[in-house]
Amino acid sequence: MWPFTVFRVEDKSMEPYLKSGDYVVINKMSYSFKNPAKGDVIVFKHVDKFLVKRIGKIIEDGYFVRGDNVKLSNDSRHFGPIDKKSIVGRVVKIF
Amino acid sequence: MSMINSVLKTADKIFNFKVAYAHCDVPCGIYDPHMAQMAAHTVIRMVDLIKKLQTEKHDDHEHGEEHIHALARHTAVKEHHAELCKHEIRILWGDYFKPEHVEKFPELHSLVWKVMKLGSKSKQEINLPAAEELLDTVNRIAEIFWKTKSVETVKRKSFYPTERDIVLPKV
Repeated sequence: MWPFTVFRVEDKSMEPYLKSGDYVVINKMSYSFKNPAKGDVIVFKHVDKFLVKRIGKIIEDGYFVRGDNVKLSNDSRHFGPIDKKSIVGRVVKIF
Repeated sequence: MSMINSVLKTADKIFNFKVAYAHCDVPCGIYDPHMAQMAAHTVIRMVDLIKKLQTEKHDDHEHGEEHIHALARHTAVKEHHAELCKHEIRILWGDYFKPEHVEKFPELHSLVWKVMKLGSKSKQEINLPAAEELLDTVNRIAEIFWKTKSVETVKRKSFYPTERDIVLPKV
């Protein structure tokens, strides 16, 4: 199975790292053999949407994700930590 | 804009790539079960005060009027706070709790349902066990609420005249 997939980024809460309209390449196999690490930028499924955020903290029951643009971001401060199984993959390239 | 970005933009029009939202919504994000807990304590307090009124003697006209007035006020406050308790829990249920929270704490469904039923019962009756069960249920929801935020809680006797328990975030 091809491990890479492309997402289009929308909204501003990951600025300046990601801008609205950027394309990100995700490696879906990134966490097949290792665990997500603090600082990784990931795409994950949240309710019915895919979100892109940075892992800010690793805790016992999941991962706290944050937007780089803290003032604009709706993230784990609002919806709590996320599970590893909701992670689609790690951002490995930005265009 | 890089050349690859332009190529991907064209490819996007053809293949329609999935969207990863950075999600810049600014929801209020301010949720707290404390209002519901205070309302549940108030319901207990009003039941206590109504029951106390029942034991008092009011022979003369003046004290009879005071009795009626106090009973009306306690009943109105009981009614209002039982409804407020239901309202606050509905807000948490509808706006704060997400499917993954329910997956993790499947009892949430029945707890919220219990608050609706016990809140109504507390409005309809002068029923101390129902009011106490309402508070216990709201306190359990408070525990779950804080767990979803990975915040530890402590359950201790409140400082209210009800002297019943309250669940608070450990700070």
